[in-house]
Amino acid sequence: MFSKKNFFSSRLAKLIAIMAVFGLLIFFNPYEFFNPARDVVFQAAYPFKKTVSNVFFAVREIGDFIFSIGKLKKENEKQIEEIQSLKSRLAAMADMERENAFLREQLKLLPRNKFKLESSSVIARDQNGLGNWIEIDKGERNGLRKGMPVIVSEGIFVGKLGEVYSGTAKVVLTTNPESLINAVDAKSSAHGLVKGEYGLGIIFGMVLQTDAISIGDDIVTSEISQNIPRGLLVGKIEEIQSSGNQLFQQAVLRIPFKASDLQHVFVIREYNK
Amino acid sequence: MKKNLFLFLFFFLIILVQTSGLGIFFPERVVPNLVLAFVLAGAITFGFSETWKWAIAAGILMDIFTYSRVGFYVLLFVLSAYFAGFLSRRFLLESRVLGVLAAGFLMISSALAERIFLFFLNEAGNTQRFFDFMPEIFSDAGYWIIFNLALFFPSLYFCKKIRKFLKPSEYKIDARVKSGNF
Repeated sequence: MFSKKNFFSSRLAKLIAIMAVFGLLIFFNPYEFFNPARDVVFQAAYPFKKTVSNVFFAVREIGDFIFSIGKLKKENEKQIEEIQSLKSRLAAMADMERENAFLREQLKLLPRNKFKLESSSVIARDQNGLGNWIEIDKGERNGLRKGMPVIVSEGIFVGKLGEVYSGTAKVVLTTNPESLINAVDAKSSAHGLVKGEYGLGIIFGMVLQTDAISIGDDIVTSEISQNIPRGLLVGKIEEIQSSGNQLFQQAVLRIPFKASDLQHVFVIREYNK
Repeated sequence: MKKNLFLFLFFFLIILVQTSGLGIFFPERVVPNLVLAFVLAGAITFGFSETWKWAIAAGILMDIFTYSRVGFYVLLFVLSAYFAGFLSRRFLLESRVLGVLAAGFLMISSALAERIFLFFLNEAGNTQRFFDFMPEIFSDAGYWIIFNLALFFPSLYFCKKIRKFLKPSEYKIDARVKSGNF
């Protein structure tokens, strides 16, 4: 058996002491207490994070390029044909542009140039798929505040700003279980709530049984959402889960972005309501 | 001092690669844990008594970098290092094959423990939600285990190289013990 002296200098005693101290820290979770330390570490690590992220993206692109060499010849031929077809379609573009303006007016969607955007690069990401966040290289000193919406270039809603530090910020993605957004079916105007499910998809729920939703419908942000402009694409309905004895119906949405592919995002700092 | 600085910079670099780099290469939810692999490999190579301080430092940095509750990765790394140290004394010296299998098993169980504990922390211990999500959360487990093991064994090799670099005299003694020429 252990003598008193041996026990306190043993590995087991160290393990128990560490477990007690850090177990209590986890239990009481003084998260904000560590925020100043986080800020300092993030500022110090910022250039390295950006470099590592850029290097890995560059390596991935080179890898993708090497693996795609075989396909390039075929694609080249195909693209020559496509150029011919595009030339003819270009003529129809002017008409489509007019139609687009008309549809935006009908759906009360905001023209994209009404957003005041802050472009930022993704410098870190959730590595186990349960947190569903990304970290961007802009923060308080760039005028960013908690709750601001984040989009990718095509008006696709990615998430909202969570914690904002002086030079960096955490974006809580729509796939995060903490994320809850008011949304609307762009086709039928059915209202509901979009909730993340651990990166396994997103759920468009709390939709009244009387409202019509169908597979393939686009789900966009609604005007009820705080700080989020209406009309940003959240997802496309992939599956409807409905039963007669439930008050609400829900749908599984296909996410229009892949977190691991996000390299640049835009934070909407201001928009015209 | 030089050794501590070297190890700090090494772990800092590994954590940067983990949080800013690996997520770009691997699909979501199957990103292996390089830091865990190095903590385990370090505990097997150097023993728990030399690794626990580094497990705490790496855990705190990891908690900060991943926006987790401070303490979560500390506990995971220290516990894993403890069992790795225990296993290395029991198995690694007795049989190489058994040792490699035990180390691989430990890597897989630590990585699984990370995922399960993280889920419980997010859901404030809601077991029903865990059982609801379990099939989907572990649907990619096969790839994820392979990726983790694929990172773990090179990490073990790399740690031995670090040991040779940091403690060449001990390494020579160890090598002589193994070859029976001591």
